[in-house]
Amino acid sequence: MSTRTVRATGRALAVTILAGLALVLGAAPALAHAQFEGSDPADGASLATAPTRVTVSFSDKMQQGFNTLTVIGPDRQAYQDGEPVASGNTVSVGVKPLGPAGRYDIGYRVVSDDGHPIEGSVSFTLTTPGPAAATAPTAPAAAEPAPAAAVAPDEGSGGAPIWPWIVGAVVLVGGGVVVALRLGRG
Amino acid sequence: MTRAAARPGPRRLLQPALWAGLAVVTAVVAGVSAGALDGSAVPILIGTSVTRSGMDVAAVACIGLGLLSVLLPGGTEYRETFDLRRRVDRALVALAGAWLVLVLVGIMFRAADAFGRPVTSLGSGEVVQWSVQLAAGRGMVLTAGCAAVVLGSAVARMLRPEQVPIRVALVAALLGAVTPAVTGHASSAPDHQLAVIMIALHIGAAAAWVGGLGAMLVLIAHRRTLLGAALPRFSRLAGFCVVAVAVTGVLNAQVRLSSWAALWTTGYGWLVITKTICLILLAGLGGLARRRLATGRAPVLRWAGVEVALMATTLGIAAALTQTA
Repeated sequence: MSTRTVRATGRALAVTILAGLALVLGAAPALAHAQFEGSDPADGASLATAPTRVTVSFSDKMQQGFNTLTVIGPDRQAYQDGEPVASGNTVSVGVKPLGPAGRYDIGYRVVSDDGHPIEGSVSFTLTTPGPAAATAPTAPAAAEPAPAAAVAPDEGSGGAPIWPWIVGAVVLVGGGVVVALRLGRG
Repeated sequence: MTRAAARPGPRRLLQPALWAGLAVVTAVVAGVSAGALDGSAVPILIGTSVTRSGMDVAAVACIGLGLLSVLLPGGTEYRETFDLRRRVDRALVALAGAWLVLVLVGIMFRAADAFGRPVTSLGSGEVVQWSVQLAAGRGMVLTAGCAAVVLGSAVARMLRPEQVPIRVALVAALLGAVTPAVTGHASSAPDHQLAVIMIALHIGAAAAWVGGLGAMLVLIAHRRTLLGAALPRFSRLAGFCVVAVAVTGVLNAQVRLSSWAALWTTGYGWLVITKTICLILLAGLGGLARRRLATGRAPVLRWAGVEVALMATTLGIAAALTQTA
């Protein structure tokens, strides 16, 4: 009995020491979930010529079809063009000819392979007005619905709502369990 | 002790319900305070926390019941064993059903979270896309499959106990418990393979420990002969589990925390500290119970209720950890 206690204590000590060593020696930085790593144009950059594409990179593989990228200009108009494209660790979207000089916000909401959404925004400053600034400021707005300040996810494109199916499945499983328990009693 | 008193009446079921509630509430509180799922709407945040911790509780309970059934003395010399095995099978049916339901609802909430959309307007196409394309989604589908296997084998055992060995349910439950955590993390981490094995071991050992103790408390605490036969075997297993949980837990934390400072500057670090304290307390309680057991003294059980409650809290925190960005 006492030898067992001693042995257990010894084991616990050994574990503590080993664990402590592991904690000190190994220092590989890694994170539980994917994270924002950078953007092109970089956050806070000042550009004289407008980019044709903005790219946001993350620490994990990105999947096509879950991502939203918006480029909102100083005139509150949306300048992103088309669907965001996921490739490797990056998500990018085309940019229309930019408008007035000023701050452009790149808003992102993406989903990495581990299923966690990552949301945030970066911005860059355009120092010389783009080609679209010459036209009436409402011109791009006419084609685009007024963009929300934050990233607005697209609405309802996935077919019939899922929740009645889930409710149905829950009722089915619940009923099955009750029936099985009744049968098992006999 | 009469037979009637050993039946799980409403009062006996109160205790496990309390444990489960504790785990779920802790998960929600810890998830919110650690800033999990920052960009999510509050109803979805609560939905994901509740389903996630509920899944964990159901999985742990299934593992515990399976383990108890394995640890029970076999043969015919124990008259009570047969009765008890039947009760375990019935409880497994109910719990595996709850598990399956929670996984399905959890898939819905997490897909809604991924698309940033309320649950009511989530389309079936999107849910399919989420469950097929993302590693996390495939993990949830796999877990649903495991829960279904547990449910199926438990139903089969209830109707024809000899046909299906309980080990089938136990292994399926272990797999189902491990999968969501393994797929719920970034696979780009440098030592991903090692991290995956570590997480799997960590969860498997923790689940066997908590579930086994809880199942023994609820089902055989008042049956001296059975307890006398099963407890020493469980105690030995629990010792190994504690060591495995401690070692893998430290290694996991070391993989995920970038520096010592991250231990107290990040929400994740705080959760790690809390879990460490819980583990030390638990190991202490377990050691105490074991010593009392070795000297032949009985009041192991009074501690054990507290121990499982503490474990449930830890479990809730662990569920929050897996949801933390």
